[in-house]
Amino acid sequence: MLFIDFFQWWYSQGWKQFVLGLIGKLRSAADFFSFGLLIRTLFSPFRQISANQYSEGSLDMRFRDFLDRLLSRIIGAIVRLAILITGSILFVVELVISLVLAILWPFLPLAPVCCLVCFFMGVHLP
Amino acid sequence: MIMFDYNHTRARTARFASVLRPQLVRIMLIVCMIAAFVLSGILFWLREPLAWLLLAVAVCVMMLLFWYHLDLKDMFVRHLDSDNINDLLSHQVLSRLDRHPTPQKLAKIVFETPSGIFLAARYGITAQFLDFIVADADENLEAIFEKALEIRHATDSEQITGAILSLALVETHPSCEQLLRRLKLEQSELRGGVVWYNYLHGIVKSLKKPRHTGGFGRDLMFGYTPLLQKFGQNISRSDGVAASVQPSLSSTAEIVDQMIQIFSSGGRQNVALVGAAGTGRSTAVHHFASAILDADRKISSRLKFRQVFKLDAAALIAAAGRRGELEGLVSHILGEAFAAKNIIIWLDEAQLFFEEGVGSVDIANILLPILEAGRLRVIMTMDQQRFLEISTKNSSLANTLNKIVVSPADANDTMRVMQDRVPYLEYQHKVTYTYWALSESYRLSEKYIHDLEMPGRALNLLESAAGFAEEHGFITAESVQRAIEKTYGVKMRASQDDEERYRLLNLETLIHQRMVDQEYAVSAVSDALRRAAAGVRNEKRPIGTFLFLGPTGVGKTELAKALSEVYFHGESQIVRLDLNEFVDAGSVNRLIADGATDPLSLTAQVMKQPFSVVLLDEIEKAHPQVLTTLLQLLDEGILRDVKNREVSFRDAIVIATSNAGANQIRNYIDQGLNLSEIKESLLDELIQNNEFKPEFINRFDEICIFKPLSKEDLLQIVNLILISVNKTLEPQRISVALDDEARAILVERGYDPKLGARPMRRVVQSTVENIVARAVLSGYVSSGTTLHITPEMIRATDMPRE
Repeated sequence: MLFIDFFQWWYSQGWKQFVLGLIGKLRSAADFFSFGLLIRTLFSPFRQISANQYSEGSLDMRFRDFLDRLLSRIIGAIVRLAILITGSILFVVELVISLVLAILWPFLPLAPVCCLVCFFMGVHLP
Repeated sequence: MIMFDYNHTRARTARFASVLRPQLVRIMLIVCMIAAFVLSGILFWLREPLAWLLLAVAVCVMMLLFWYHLDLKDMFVRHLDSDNINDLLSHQVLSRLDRHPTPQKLAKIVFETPSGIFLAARYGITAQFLDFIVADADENLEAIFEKALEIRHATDSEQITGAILSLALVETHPSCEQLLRRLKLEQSELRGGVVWYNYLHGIVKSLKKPRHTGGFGRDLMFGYTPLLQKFGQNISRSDGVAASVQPSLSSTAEIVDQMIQIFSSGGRQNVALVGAAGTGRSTAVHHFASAILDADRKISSRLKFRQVFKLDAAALIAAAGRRGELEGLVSHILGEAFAAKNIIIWLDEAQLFFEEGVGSVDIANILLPILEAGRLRVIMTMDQQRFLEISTKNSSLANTLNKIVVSPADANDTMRVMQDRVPYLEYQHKVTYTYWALSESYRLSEKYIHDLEMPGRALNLLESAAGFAEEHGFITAESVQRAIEKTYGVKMRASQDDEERYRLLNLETLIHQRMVDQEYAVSAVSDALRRAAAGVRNEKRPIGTFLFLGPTGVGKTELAKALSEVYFHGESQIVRLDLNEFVDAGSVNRLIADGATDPLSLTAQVMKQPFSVVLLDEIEKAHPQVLTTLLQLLDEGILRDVKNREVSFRDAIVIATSNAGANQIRNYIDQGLNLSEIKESLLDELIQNNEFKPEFINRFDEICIFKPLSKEDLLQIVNLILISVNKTLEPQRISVALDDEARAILVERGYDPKLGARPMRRVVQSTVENIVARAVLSGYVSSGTTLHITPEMIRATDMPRE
């Protein structure tokens, strides 16, 4: 009876809970790497340095401020891109693993049966 | 028919889950699984078919562990709408029920579940109590399960836990109400215990959920804030962990929503939380800080992940040396906060930032343009009075603020906040709070703590009680009473020890060790105290209110002092006001002045010392408005001070004394009238002469007439004074004795029917002390001897008659 309870759960609530758990982990990973935030602020000045200096001086001064801001934005974009790329790679790896596991889930209970058959048949790995 | 099915799927899986529940079992399974995987890998490498078998074992164990972690561990109810008890019983109960459960077995089982233990510890529904309840119970569980279903529904519970079954066992007992009365509980309070458990369980569950707070890229979006780090405290950083915990009060949640709405809109970007200290202004700000850090919450991206910095006014003032530096520093900090783009400034006790003078800071001029432009988000917290002061001083600043009023919590909300805080306090102090500790904290703090509002004042007392744990670390109502006794000098607990009982039963004798005669007054005050100690008095009034009428020097004030010493442990427990200093209409303000400006006002003294004798001397001389102010005190035991705070006189004995009608009393005594006849006639006269209004006289519990002292009374007073003289001489080991004739001489010298015992004291003290001084200097007496004073010695002092 317990076996029936187990299989009932495995192919209904179990699968659903497992997939929801994987989605939760992916969401946590996305939050950890701040994808949304980094994309939205990709070209913002790095740590807001020089972000709010609107000099009213000479053209030379204004041009220097513009260059300052530009440099700050470039540095910001590089740092954010680096985090985004690293995060994306790790995220994709996790996503692939999650997908594989979600697909494998219904086949997992068959694995012990197959293994036992192989054992009794004396199957050798090539 | 409601029946437990032993073979129900949930019951079966719950029993199986209980096998896997011990951590050791799961660790062993994990070790087995890893070992099987590793070994199978090795055997595959060695081309051994046994590898398949090990792999099968490893996968089986893995699936078992999946099952446990995803389902068996918590076994949530899947069919919430079901009426089948088997679908709703918690796994802790299901795993322990056998094929034929009985109420007796159920009583044992519930005490093994976490919620059952919770109810036992907090509400006293212990295993012994349940055993007693089910001792004669019918074996049929149907009524109990039916009640459990009803309680689950009423308490909005997900499962039928051990606590609910405990409650069902109690509530199905025929003498339920009687049983609960023994525990000083009501049915609704006990059901509140189930809700409390559910609430704490919910917090634990929400803390287990992963929290999304923006990740490590969050702070890269924003600027550096070195000055803010130095002069402020980032409360978002410390509160980040609590991002998913909801406020325990709906009113706090509403305030947080309002703050979010204000800061998300395009209007003025500020909030002024206005409310008295203790109402939860800071709690609301902390919850707001947590809420905007919650990535899963639907709030404007303009507000999300902003961090709340609390500015420290004292640190700013200390850092700025010269005048003008402070303004510069504040300007820099606000500029930094603006440039960082993610800062919300919190000015706690905001009035500190708008004060003028040395050692203070007024940033109104700096802040006003920023607030008007709405370029920097600012939160201010202050009390209503300070907000009004700021409004008067700087109306444009007040008009710019978005005011949100934070009101004090009511009884239910305060209980909820305390229940919410209990786990933290228990963790900090390693104690367990009972339900009675919480209700007593509310009751007593409402009565005695005046500098905070609810729920702060109840929480304050609840935390203080942690230091007064009973056996096994339980905080009970008695712990709370002890805490308030120690902190406020209030006497709370009914007299329990023998010494106190003796004192109460022999109050008259003990008081007469200090004063003579006036039996009626002594009995009246003694009876009032005994009623209070036995708990049979009206709790909504002072312990007793007495008007002492009589000539001067007959013992009116002395009785108040004696009472204070005998029952209130010392004369320091007397709050004395000479009302001849309150003769004009403006005196009312002095009577009820704030303790900070006048520590000697009546309200300030009683606020500090609620358990005392309040002596209002020479009440007839007070201005009529002062007497009118005192009416509420005498009637309800409450007086409001200038700040409109209720000051309780309900643990005080109020004694008013008056010399009014002294001559009439003497005349009546000379005419041979007894005290009750004198009282009746005298009160009529006093009312007719407009000395007292009838409504004032009627407010007193008892009006005691003090008769003039006779020469026989003065002889006894001489004895009492001699005892006090001997006490003074005790360090020199000299004692004094008087023979009868000497006593009579002293009485003759000190007797004055108009002045009572007062001249007597002066005469005895100076005569005896003069004699002793001469005797000591001449070597007539030495240490360890008794000086017998003779009539000749007294005559030799040649004391002029008073």
